[in-house]
Amino acid sequence: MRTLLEVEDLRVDFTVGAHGRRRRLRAVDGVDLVVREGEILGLVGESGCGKSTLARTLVGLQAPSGGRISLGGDLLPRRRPAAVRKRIQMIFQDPGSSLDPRHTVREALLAPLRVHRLADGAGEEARVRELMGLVELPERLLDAKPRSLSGGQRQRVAIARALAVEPDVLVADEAVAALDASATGAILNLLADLRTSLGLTVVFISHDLSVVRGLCDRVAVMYLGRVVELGRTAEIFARPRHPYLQALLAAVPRVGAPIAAPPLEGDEPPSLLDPPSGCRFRTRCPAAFDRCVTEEPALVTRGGALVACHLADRC
Amino acid sequence: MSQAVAGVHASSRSGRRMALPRFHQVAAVVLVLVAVVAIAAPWLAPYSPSAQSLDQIRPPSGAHALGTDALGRDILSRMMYALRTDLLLIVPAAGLPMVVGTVVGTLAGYAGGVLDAAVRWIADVFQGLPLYIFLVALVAAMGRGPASLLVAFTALGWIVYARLVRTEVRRIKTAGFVEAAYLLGRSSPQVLVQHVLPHALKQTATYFVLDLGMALQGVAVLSFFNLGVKSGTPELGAMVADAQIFIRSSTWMVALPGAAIVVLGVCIAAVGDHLSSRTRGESDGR
Repeated sequence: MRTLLEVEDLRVDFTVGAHGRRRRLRAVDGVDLVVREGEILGLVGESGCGKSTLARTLVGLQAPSGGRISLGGDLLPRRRPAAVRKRIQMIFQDPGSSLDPRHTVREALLAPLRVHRLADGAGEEARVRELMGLVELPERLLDAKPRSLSGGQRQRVAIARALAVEPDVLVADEAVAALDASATGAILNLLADLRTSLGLTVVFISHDLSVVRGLCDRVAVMYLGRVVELGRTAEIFARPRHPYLQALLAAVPRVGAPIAAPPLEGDEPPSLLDPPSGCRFRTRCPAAFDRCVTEEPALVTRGGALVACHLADRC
Repeated sequence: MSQAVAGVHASSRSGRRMALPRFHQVAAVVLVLVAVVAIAAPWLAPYSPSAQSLDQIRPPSGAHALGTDALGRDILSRMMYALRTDLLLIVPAAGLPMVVGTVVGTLAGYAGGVLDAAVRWIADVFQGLPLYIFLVALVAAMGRGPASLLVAFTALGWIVYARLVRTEVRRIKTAGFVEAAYLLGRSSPQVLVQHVLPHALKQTATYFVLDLGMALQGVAVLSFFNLGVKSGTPELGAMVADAQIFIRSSTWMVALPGAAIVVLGVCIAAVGDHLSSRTRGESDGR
C-alpha cells in the first residue's frame, strides 16, 4: 500500500506558566509515523500522552515546533492555506460542540461545498442528500438543528460534513468517547464501511483499546509524547512487546474476569514538564533496570512490530 | 411520535390564546406605540410644541387634552415631541457603547495577547469613573447638550459589552464548530463573522435594551438639573423640572411627563428582563 501521510520527527511545544516562570512543555516529542492509503491507523495512549496534540497538528489546528508532515509526497507548510487544510479533516470528540447550534444540518453540509465551490445550485442539494446517504442519516433530518439530534446522529453529521470536501485523510479524535455503547458501535461500523466504500484513510485516536482493536489495521501506542510500539493490530495485541502496552492490555476489563489494575508503578504518568531521563516509561515500568535510566531506547523492529524498549529482544 | 408532538403544540397554542397577555408583551406594545408617536409627532400633535398662548397653566380640557404649561404651551404636543427628543438621545446613547464595545471585545477576544491585556487595562481605568460625576465634568468641559451625554455613556458603557463579547468570543473560538469551519476552508475573519459573532450579539442585544433604560434615566436626570438639552427643547426631564414649582397648585404639569418617564422606563426594563432570561435559558439549553 502506498504511503499517504508521513510524519517525521514531529515535535510540538507549548509554553506554560505565568511571566517569569514560563516553562516549555513538549507534548509531542519526535514522533515518526506513516499512514498508508486506505488504512485505519489507531493511536492509543493515556490522556496527556500527546495523542490529541498529534491529531490537531496533523490537521493543521496546531503548528508544529519541529519536524515535517507530508501528504501524498507534498511537504505541508506550517500555516496551511484553505486548499491544503481541506485535504485532512477532523472528527471531534464532542459532537455537541462541533456543530454550530444555530445552523441546520443542511446549512452545516452546504457550507464546505460553497467555500470550495464543489457544487452548483442544483448539484448542491443532490450532494447534500448523497452525503446524508453516505452516513446513513434520513434526509428528513436535513432541516433539523443539532439540538434535536442524538449524539450518534450529530457525529454522523460531523462525519458527513468532513466528507463533503472529499478529504484524503480523516482524523477522528476520540470520536466515540462521548457516545453510548450502541452509538459507538454504529459509528465504528460506519467508519469501517466508509473505508471500504470510499477507500477512506483514517487516523483513529482513542484511549479505548477494545474500540481500537475492532476497527484499526495498525496501531501506534503513545506514551509521554512518543510512540513506544507500532504494528499490525492483530500482531501487537496478541504479542505486546512494550511493557506499557502489556500493562494496558492486562487492565482491559473482560466479562467474567476480575477487574485488574494495570501492573504499573503509580496511577499517573510523570509530568511532561519534567520527563524522566532515559526511557520515559521507566518510572512506572515493572521491569526497569539500570540502562533504562541512562539510555533512551530507540524504536526498532522486533518481529512484526516497532518497539522502543531495551528489553524488546527478550519478548 | 409526530402526532404526539403536534398535539403538544396545539394544546400550548390554545393555552396561550386563553391566557392574558404577559407583562413583557404589553410593555413591548407600549414601546412600539411610543416609537410611533415619537416618529409621527409632527402629524399627531394638535399644536406646535413651542407655540405659546395666554391660556397659561390650564388643567386638561377639550382644547388642550393634557392642559397647558406656564408659557401656555400645549402639554400633549410637548410630550409627543419630548418622546421624539428622548428617543433620539437614548437610542444612540445606548447604541454607541454597544457598537464600540462589541468591536473592541471581538478584537480583544480573537487576537488575545497584548491587545487583550491593553483593553482590559483601559476598561479597568474607565470602570472606576462614577457615571454622573463624569457626566457633570464632561458637561463642564464640553458644554451641555447631547454630545456630552453620548461621550459619557460611550466612555463608560462600552466596558460591559467588551467584556461580554470578549468572553463569548474566547469561549466560542475554541468550540469544535469553529475549528471545523476553519479546517473546512473558512478564513479566520469568515469564521468570526459566521460562527462567533452571532452568538455574542444575541447577548449584547439584551444589554442594549436594558441600557436604553439607563440612558433614559440619564437624560431625564441631566435635564432635571438643567445640564441636558437646550432650554425650551421639549424633553420629559426638562418638563418635570420646569413644572416643579407648580407641583402643589397644578400637579398634572409635573405628573404627566413624570409618569411618561416611569412608564417608558418600566416597559424598557420589562422587555429587557424578558430578553435576558430568554437568552440565559437558551444558552443553558445548548
